[in-house]
Amino acid sequence: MKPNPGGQLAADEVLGRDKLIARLWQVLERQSLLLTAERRMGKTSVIKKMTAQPLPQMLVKFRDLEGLRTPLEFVEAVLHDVQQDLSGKERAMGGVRALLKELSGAEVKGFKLPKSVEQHWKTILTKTIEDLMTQQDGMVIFFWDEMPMMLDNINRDLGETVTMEILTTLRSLRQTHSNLRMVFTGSIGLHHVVTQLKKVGAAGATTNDMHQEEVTPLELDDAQLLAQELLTGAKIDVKDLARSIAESVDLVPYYIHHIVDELQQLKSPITRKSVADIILDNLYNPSNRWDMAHYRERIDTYYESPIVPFALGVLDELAVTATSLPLPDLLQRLQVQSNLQNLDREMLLKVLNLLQRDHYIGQQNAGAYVFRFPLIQQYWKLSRGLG
Amino acid sequence: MNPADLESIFVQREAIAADLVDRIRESVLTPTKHHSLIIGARGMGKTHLVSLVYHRVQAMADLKERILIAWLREEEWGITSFLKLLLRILRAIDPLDPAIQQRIEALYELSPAEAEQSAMSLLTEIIGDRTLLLITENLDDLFKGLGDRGQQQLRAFLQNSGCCTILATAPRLFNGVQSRNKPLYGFFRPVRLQELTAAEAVQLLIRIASLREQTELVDFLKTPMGKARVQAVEHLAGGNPRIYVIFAEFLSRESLEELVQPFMALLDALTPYYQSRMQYLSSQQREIVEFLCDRKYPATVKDIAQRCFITSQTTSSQLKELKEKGYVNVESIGRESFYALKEPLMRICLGMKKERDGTLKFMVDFLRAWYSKDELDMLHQRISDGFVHKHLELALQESNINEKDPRVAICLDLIKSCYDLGLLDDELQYIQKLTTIRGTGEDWVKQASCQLRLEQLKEALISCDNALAIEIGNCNAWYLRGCCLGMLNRYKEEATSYIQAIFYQPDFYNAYYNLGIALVSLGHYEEAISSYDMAIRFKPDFPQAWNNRGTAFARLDHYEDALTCIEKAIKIDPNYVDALGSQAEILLGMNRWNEGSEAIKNVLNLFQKTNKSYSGDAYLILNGLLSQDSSQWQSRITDLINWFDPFPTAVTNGLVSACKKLISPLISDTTATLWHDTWHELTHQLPEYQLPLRLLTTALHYKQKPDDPRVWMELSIEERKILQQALGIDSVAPRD
Repeated sequence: MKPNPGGQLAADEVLGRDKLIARLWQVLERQSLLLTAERRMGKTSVIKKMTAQPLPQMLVKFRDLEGLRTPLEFVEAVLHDVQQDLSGKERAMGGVRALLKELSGAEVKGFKLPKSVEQHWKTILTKTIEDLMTQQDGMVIFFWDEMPMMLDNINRDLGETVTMEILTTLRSLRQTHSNLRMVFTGSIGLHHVVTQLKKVGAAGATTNDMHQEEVTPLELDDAQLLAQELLTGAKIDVKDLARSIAESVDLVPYYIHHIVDELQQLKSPITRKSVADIILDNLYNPSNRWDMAHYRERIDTYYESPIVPFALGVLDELAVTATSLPLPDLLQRLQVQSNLQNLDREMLLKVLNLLQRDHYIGQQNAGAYVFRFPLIQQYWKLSRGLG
Repeated sequence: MNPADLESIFVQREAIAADLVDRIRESVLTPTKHHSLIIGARGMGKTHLVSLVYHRVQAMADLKERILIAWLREEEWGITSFLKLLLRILRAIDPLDPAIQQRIEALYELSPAEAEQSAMSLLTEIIGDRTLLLITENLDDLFKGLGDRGQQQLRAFLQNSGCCTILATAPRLFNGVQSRNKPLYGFFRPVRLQELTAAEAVQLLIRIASLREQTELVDFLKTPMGKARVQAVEHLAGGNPRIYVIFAEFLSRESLEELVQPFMALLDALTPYYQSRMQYLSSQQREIVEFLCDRKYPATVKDIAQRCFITSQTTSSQLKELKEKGYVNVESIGRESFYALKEPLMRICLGMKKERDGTLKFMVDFLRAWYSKDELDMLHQRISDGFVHKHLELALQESNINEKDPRVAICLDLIKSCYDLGLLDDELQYIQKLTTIRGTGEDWVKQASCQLRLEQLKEALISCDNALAIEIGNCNAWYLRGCCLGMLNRYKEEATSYIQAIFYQPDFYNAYYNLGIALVSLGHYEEAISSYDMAIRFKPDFPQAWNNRGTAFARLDHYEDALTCIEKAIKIDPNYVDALGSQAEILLGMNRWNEGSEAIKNVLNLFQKTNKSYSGDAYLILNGLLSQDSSQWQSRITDLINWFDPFPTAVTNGLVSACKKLISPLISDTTATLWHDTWHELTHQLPEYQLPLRLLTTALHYKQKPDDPRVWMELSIEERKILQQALGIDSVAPRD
C-alpha cells in the first residue's frame, strides 16, 4: 500500500475503522447521524467506505456538497442522485416530475431545474424524497459530506433564514420517513453556522434528532498496522519505526500517510530521528504542509470577539500544564491574569464547550481539561512563546 | 521533443518518475486515486518530468482502454471559474470524438449555470468507467483563477465522481493546498524536485551532447577541465537544469575570444527571462532582489532591512517568500543566516543594464566563475591589452579579496573553535561551508585534513584532488593525498604523491619521512633509508626519522647501523617509547639476549601502563633469531611468547613477516623445517597462533616446491593474499 496523503483511498485501504463503522451502522438503525472531527481525521474516508460497503437492503448515496451555494442547487443534486436509482422503475419520480411540470408549465427533463421553480425548492425536495421512499423497501441513507460548508455558503449569500429553512426541511423529512437517514459531515463545525443563526433568533433544535459522533484518531494497534503497511509499500525497513510514527502523530491516519511519504522522499538514511525531524519541521516551519497556524487563526475567524481572549487564555494555560486541569483550578489560574479578570464560571464553561466542539481540548475521566492532541499542544506552546 | 529523446536526457529523477507512473497506474486500475503536485522553481525540469510521465503512461497498453488523459496547456490563462475549467478539460481530452466536439460547442449556447451542469454531465459521460488523468501545470495560477468557489466545486467533483487522478506542478507550495481554510487543503501529495548536483549536471550534459551527436563535447566533459567548467555553471546557475542546457554549447570553448561574444549574446537572450521572473514579485520583494543583485556577497536580514529601509520583520517574511519562490537561498553559519540570490546568473543578467563606467561587472563575475585563479593568471599574462585584458585584471583583483565575504571570517572562527574543542564533526561541517563559499586550494586541504582525522579516507582523497585541480602545486594537498593512499594500502601511489609534494617543496621533511614509510611498505629498504636521510638533512632533530632509518637498516640485516640510528633517536627524545622498543628488538635480534630481554620487558611494561597497544612487531627479533643457533630457539621463542603475552599480535605478525627470510636461499630447507616444527610444538595449542602457523606451513611448502600451485590451495583466498604480501610475491592463480 502506497502512502497517499490527501488522495482518495479504496475502501479496503481505510484501515482501523471497522469498529467505528459497525457502531455507526448501529446508530443508523435508529437515527440519523452528525459526524464531526478535526479536518483530515478521515471522516470522508469513513463514509466513503460505508457507501462502498453498505449493509444488505440498504440504499446509500454519497455527495460532497461543498460546491453548492443555493437551496435549488442542493435540490438538483438530490434529484440527480435519486434519479440515478429510480430510473427504469415504473412510475418512478412521477410525483416530482408532475410537480415540476405544474410549477414551470413545461416538461422538465434531466435534473437541471429552471430558475422559475426556485422559490418552490422545499416542495420539490419533499416530493423527490417522497418518490424515492415510496419506491424503496429498505433503508435509504444520504451521506452528505461538507454539509456545514454548503450551509455556510448559503448563509453568506442568501441569509440565515434560507439556511434555517434547509435545516428544518431536512428535519421534517427525517421525521416523516421512518426509513430515511441522513449523515452530515463537515470540517467546520455545524455549531458555528447554527450559532450565527441563533443570534437572529431563528435557530431551533434543527439537528437534535441526530446522533452526534466524533471520528477520533485510530487505536494504537491500528495506527501501527497502517504505518507498517505504508512503510512496506514504500520499501522502508527500519526496526520499530511504525510504532514510532503512529505515536508521534497522535495516531492520526492522514499524518501517518504524510510522514511515510516524506520519509520515502528523503535522500538521507532513514532513522527514528528522521520522523522527529519531519514533525518538528511541520510544526515550526511557517511554510509547512500541516498549516498549524490555522489553529490560532480560526479562533479569530469563528469565535466572537469578546470570547477570543478567554479562548486563548484557556489554551495557553492548558498548553503549559503537564497534566489535566479541573474547572476550578483552570478558572483560578485564568482569573489572576489582568486581561481575564471578568471571566466567570459560566463564561468559562461556554468557552470550554466551544473549544471542545472544535477538538482543541478534551475532558479526562474526572472531568479535568486537557489538550485533545499532544501535537497541537506542542505547536501551541512554541508558537505562543510559552516555553 | 519525442519520448525517446526525453528519456535519453533524463537524469536524477528516475525514482520520482517511476513512482508517479506507479501511482497513476494504481489510480487507473483500482478505486484508489492519487493527486501529485510536483514542486520546483522555474527551469527545474517540471515540464520535462510531466512529459516523460505522460509518454510512459500513454505507452502502457493495458491502460489504454481504462484511461482518459487531459493535459492542460502550461499557460492556461483565463480559467476563472469551474465551468471554464471543465471546458478546458473537455477540450484537452485526447483524442476527442468529433461528436463530442459538437456537444462541447453546444454548451456555449446555455446559461453559465446550465452549461456547468451539462459540462459536468458530459465529462462524467465521456469518462464512463475509465479514470481521467488530469495533467495541469502551474496549479497555483489555476487555483487563483478558480477562487474559493471554483476550488470548492473542484473538490466536490473529485469526491463525487471518484474517477479523477491529478498530476500537477507548481513553483512552490501555495495557500490553496496548504491552508486548512481552503477546500483542497492536503489533497495533493507534494513531490519536491531537487537541484542538480555537479555530477548529475555532467551526466545531463553528456546525454544532451550524445543526443546532438557532439562526441567531442562528450569527451571534453569527462576531462578535469570539463568538470571544472560544469562547476562554474553550477555556481552561475544554482543547479537549474534549464541553464545547464543553455550552457551546454559553451563548455568546450577553450579560447577566451571564442567565449566572450557568445556569452554576451546569451546574456542578452536570458535577460528577458530573468526580467519576466521579476514580474512575479511584489515591489518590496523586487527591491530585496535588486539589493542582492548589487551586493557581491550574501547578506544578513539586518543588512538587507537597513539598506532597503524596511523593518527586519517584514524583510524576514519577504525573504521567506522569496525562498519559497526559488529566488534566494539561505545559509546558516553558526547563529547567522545569510541570504543570496539562488542563481548568480540572475545577478549578472539584471546587472547588465546598470553598467556605466565602461567595465562590465558581469564579465568580471563570469570570468571569476569560469576560470581558476591559475588560469586567470595565465590568460592575464597572455593577453596584454584591450577589453578582455582589463576585465581579466579586475577578475584577478577580486579573486584576491575573497576574505571580504563576511561568511568566510565566521567560518574560520568556527573552524578554529571546533578544532580547539576537538569537535571533529562540527569542524568538518564548517570547513565544508568554507569550501562551498570560497573553495580555495587551502580550504580543500583543510577539508582533507579533517576528513583524514575522521578516517573518511575516500572523501579526503576527493578533497585533495579538488585542491590540486585548483592549485596543482599545493604541496600539502599532495602530502595529504599520500597519507590517504597509505591508509588505503595503495603504497605505490602513496609514494608518488609524496614525491610530488617534495617536487613542489624540496625541504618538505615530513614528506620525505612518509615517503620512507611508503617505500618500506613496498619492501624498498635502501630507497627508504635515502628518504629518511633527506628528512634528517632538513630536520636533524627528527627522532622518528632516525628510528625508522634504524629499523630499515635492520630489515637489511645491518643491525649495527640500525642500533646507531636508534640510539640517536633516543638521544633526541629519551622518552620515545617506539625507539626504545626498536632498540630492545634489535638487541634481541643481535643475540644480545640478556641486555635485550631487560630492555623489552621495560618497554612492554611502559605500553601496558599506558594501556596502549605495542607499536612494533617482533620481526626484528625473529629475523635475527632465524640466523642464530637453532639449539637456542626453543628457549628463546618460549621467552618471547611469555614476554609478549599481553601483545601476542606483535609476535604473530613478526612470525608471518619473517617468512620472507625463511624462503630465502640463505636458510636451508632443514633449518626452515626445524623453525616450522619448533613454532608448531610451542604454539599449536594457542588460538591466536593458528593462522600464523598455517601461513608458516604453507611458506615452508612453497620453499620446498615453489612451482607447485597446489601449495596455495592449503589456504583460503584471504589467507593466500596475506602470505603472498609477506613473501613479496605476486599472486599465484591456482590451476584447475
